Amino acid sequence: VKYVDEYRDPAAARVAVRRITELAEGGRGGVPYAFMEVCGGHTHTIYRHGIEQLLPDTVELVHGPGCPVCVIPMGRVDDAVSLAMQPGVIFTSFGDMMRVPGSRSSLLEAKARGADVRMVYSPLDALKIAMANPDRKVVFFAVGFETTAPSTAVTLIRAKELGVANFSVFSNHVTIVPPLTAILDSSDLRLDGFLGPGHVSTVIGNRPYDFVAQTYRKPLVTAGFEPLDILQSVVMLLQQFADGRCEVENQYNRVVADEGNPIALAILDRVFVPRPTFEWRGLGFIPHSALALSEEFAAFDSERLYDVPAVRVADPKACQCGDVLKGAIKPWECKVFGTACTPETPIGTCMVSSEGACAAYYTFGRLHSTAAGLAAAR
Amino acid sequence: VSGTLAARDLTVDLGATALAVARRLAGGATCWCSSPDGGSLPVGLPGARRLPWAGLVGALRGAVLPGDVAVLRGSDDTSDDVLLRAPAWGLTTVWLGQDDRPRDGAADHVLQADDVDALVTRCLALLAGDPAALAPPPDCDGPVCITCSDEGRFAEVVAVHGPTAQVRTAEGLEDADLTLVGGAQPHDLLVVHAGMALTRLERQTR
Repeated sequence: VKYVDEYRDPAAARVAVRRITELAEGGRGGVPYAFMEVCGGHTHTIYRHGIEQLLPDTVELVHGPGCPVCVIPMGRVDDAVSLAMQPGVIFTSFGDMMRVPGSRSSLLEAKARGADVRMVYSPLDALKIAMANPDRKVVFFAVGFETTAPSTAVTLIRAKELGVANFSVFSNHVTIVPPLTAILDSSDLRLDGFLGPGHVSTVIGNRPYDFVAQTYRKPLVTAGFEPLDILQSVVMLLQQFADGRCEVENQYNRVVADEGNPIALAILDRVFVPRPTFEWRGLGFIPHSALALSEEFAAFDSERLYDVPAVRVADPKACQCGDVLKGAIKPWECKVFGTACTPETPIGTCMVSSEGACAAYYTFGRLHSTAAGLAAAR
Repeated sequence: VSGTLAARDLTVDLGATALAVARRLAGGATCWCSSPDGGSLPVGLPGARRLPWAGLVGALRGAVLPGDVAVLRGSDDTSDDVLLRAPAWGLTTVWLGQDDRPRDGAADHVLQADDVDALVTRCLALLAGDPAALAPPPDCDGPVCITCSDEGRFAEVVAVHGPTAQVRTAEGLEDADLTLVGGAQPHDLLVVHAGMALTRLERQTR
């Protein structure tokens, strides 16, 4: 846990905390304001810098489904392991995805059994591996929201231009607006507003969120990733309530343009098409919430090139990642948190990625008095 | 009451600033100082180097290493430009002065008061005699997943080679693809995710 004097520009952070305390006094009708941070990066910042401990009791932060590793269902991990075990395949992936447990094993365990699984920093690195190994087939495990999907798209365009025939993509890219809608449509919704994702919004801009304010009457503020950004975004949300406004605002305007990145959006439109539906861990099937490769790039689509099991697999019964991802329970309220499920031996995806709510809480938030008390009571 | 609160806050910020700078210096960093009028700045620091305000951005670009410290006094386009580029250079920034503070969050530390330079120097001298305080804090940063964290690293373009640029980040030199930003020029500031420049940063008008 860090303290405000360790924040960037602590003087400004202190002003923001005081303003939050003033604006949130009494809560909303006596109940704490509940704001969901959609992005896993925000969750990480909140825990790492102890922001929850700085906020008054009248403001609660709820952790949303914005960690793309956390929301990948177990069946898709099994499909990835199946691809990795194919003869002659070099399977490439971002690091965190390698530790996510499937129903039988993770990619890391597949690697231990002899599969050629390699960690990459960028999909372009996977393409380089393909070009350096023309006698092998290279598959890239594409995960991530609209921040990462353009990298995959550019890589596919590059692969097509260069005629790299031994490269393909197993696309699990997801999009941010459909799960937001699903959360807003859920019957047990108790949220007053949203902290919108920062770098996703550099690509899609702020206008796709307008429906949140206009249709659902919930304010949304696109937020940066410094602790001060989070605090100022909470101030902006509370100020909207004080003013009787309900709008989409942009705290991260030093980076995010309202219109997003038109080049990236055009490239996404060319390379991907929305899937009719896609399963999200904890949220179930959400229509048009994920991206498949378009017909133009069918020759690079791992799902068309290889037989994959494509079987739906239920989460372990003890795992409550779904409830955590919906914001229905806090990480430490899960029955296996910190006991059977730890970052070293994760049962659920939320404990794998350091941006997952459970892993972030385990690493940075275990001294929180409420959690400690509840853990002791269990 | 507000006066007491302000004084207490300034004391806390002064201590935090001095500790951050002292730890950097103890780790071998250089402290770069500049003000538009060439006025007083804590140049009595070990290894402190004064730079002229005119041409400051170019001078710092060529001089700083990740982990260095810049102490600035002025608030104008020059200071805005330095503060905007500092994350890409891996530079810790301290702003001292009375009026017209930088935009919130632009500098790592802001000490808004009269004659604060001498206090910073005094604090640093005290800390220099306390090696235990200068030990680096325990690293609690675990591995970060670039996609889960929605990572966007600030980078400054060093050179452009076709669709790719060599960029400078706080972690060092690396390559970034420029397709999504439609090309770039040396010194442009970019936000990079998974080897791909996502957007170009523009300095906001004052």
